[in-house]
Amino acid sequence: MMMRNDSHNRAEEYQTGTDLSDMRQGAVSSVERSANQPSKRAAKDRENVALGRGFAVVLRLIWKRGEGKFALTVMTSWVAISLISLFWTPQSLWKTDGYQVWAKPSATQWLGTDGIGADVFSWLMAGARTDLFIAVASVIFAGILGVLLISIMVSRNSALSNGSVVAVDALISIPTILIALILAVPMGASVMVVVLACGIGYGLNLARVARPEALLAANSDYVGSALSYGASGFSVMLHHILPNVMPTVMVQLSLSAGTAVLAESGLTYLGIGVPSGVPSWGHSLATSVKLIDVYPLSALWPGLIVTIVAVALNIFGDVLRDTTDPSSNPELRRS
Amino acid sequence: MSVDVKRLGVCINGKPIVRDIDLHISDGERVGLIGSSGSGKSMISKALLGLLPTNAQVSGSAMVGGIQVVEASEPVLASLRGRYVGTVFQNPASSLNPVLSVGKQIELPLKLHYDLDKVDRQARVARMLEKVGLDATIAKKYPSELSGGQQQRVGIATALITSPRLIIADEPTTALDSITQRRIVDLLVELVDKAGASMLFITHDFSVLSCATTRCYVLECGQIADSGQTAALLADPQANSTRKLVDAAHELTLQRK
Amino acid sequence: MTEGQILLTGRGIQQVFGKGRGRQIAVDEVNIEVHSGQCLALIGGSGSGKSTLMRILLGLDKPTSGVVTFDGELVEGRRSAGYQALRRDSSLVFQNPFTSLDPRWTVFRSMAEPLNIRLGRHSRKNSLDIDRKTRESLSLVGLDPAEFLERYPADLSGGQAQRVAVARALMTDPKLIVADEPMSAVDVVARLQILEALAAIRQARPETSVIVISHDLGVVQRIADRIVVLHEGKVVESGSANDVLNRPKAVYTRELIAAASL
Repeated sequence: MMMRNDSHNRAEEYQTGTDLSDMRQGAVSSVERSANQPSKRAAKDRENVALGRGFAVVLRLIWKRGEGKFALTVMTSWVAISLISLFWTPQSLWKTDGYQVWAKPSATQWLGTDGIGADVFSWLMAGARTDLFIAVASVIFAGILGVLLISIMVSRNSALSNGSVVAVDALISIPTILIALILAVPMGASVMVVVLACGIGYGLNLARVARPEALLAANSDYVGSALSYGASGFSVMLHHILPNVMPTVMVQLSLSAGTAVLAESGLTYLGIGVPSGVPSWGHSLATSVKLIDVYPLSALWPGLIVTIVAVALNIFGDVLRDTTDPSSNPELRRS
Repeated sequence: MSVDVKRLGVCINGKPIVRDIDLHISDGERVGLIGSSGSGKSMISKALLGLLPTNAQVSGSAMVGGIQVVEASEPVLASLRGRYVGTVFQNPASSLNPVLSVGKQIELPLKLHYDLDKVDRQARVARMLEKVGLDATIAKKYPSELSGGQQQRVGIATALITSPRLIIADEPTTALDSITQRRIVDLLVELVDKAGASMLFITHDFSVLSCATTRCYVLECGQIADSGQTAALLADPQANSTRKLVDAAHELTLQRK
Repeated sequence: MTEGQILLTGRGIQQVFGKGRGRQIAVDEVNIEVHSGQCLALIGGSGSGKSTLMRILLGLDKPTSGVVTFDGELVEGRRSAGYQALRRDSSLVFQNPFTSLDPRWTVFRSMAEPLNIRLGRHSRKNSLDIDRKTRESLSLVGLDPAEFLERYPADLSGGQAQRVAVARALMTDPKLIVADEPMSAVDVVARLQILEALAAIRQARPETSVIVISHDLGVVQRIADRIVVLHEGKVVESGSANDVLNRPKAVYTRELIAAASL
């Protein structure tokens, strides 16, 4: 009995409402309805505020965890030191002193000097910005490539999706270092070799790792529902599938940033990475590693920094995945 | 086997899920536990099996056949589970191992708890399959080759093969269609009665409960809101939460003419 | 119950999967019609072919043989007028509300999606109308917009989430709503709420046809005008709800009735 009454009330409420046909006309005539403008802007503002608030909440959640604190501190210092090194280093990078090679740490040379008497600390500071550029650039490149490949791999055109899966699987078997060697033939040793090699390698990897999740979303009922209302494949990809694979993508990219820093060291050591004269951690490592049994400390510093940064980026990826998921973090859902 | 639960409470990360649960099952009795989703039904069955998540804090007492499961050590619980307490799960498709043949699956609890030779075990599996109304040839098949109803029969066979004294059935029919549902409930009741075992039947649906149990407890928001004979509760519900569930059952079932 | 115009028909629909020994007839020579304003219940156990039939009737799959028409137009391929009309004037409600709502979207965004897709680049200009429409649909299914619009699926109970899905189906003012087992993934109390929501929709929009797919005769007894019973791909019984429930002819229907009785 209650049910009948209830639904009757709701029915009346409903009939007083708008019809879709009104709205279609509204689409044409609403330009004149200037009354709409302010509240629409308010809605836009609300959206921006919500976005900013979400960002703040995620940062706070990361900071709340011990390992998140570590990762954030390392990454912020990295960026800060890179910026500072553009304007100031304790010693000039180009000041060398033939009488002061492999010097011990002192008040002027905080971490001592290297084989040509240049200040190790200053070179490490300047190396930070090169590695930061490499990490950011290869992550952006890998991200774009990976997302493009994911979109193709889960597309509803079966020839395209099957073909791309085979192609990715074939290409992924080529090691990053081989890609770098091939690229180095025409390009020579350069920062771009590292960025391109890492970008391609990690992009392929990203596509393969994120594919199951993308498929899960692509086959879900909410995508089915959107398609049944006439949504295009592109819009479904943009609004449903990509947001749902974003956690995996972010973790992978964050791991990739760490690996890119490691790869830079490796490739530079091999002579196909950063050219000599350009400061980078790999460069510092390569110059000091030759005399590691005589001056072990000089190889320790760049090695330690590379390790700490790589670990921090890996941790950051994990923490980011845990903190950006609204279904497991009620704070993100509060409006 | 009798079950005696006194003032049982379970908290997860400090948040109470169920509290002050008093529940009794006598030897050979079929008792129901009914509540809507999120009322904490499954938490009680997990507590009885000692299978609560590691971040759960338990208080109160839960005696299963004279053993205090709240404080019992893992080896004691392991010997209790499977041997004296059999469990039938909600979703047979995910509770059966997809890469193990049905025969092996039913045989596993026997292997774990009894010292029998292979021929003897296989003979028991064949007898069990017959009891749950399945063909003996099904032992060679894999879960994915069976229908939902057949899978749940296999689930029941696995739970009953060791002749447990208590069966915990956690929404065993929710994932099945209505005709299969009725048959599975009838089968479960028949087998449990024949074996003289006790049963705790967990569901959200009074119409299923009325076939499966004689007495039941109504759970709401983690607390026992009502209890009594199933038929009496169904005919004349007093408590608010009971009435809600009974009304739903009446609305959603046909009245026999 | 006065019968409206014929909205959806299926004639001689057959769907065959596989070839040779694995050949399986999922749907066998099914004839079905739905009038506007009518609520039709499609009943069958698992494996009866009811979901396959639904996909064909909605133009989502192509039958091996048979013809589907919607609103007088032939549904055949994505370019046909009937298919376009189906996409425009039909809505779907899925079995599991939690997989049919994007976990990363608020209720409002999920509900607005059909209209945003429909209106495309005009949707921004109509944001106030969409907003109003969302509120109306949500109140119709018995949920308070102020409380639920900004929630995420993880904060909803099964019954609430399914009613959001039903409310979303209303957003485009469809002529046909198809609900595929809308009540089997939630508990009995939630089932009742969903039934109430469907009843409210039928009352508010008497022209809208509803197809409810279920394995349980009990849950559809109050809302169905007509019942079609499907067993092993064939229609074993069809007729008015009253006739089928009180004077069943087929053995299978009697079994269904027995299973759905208290």
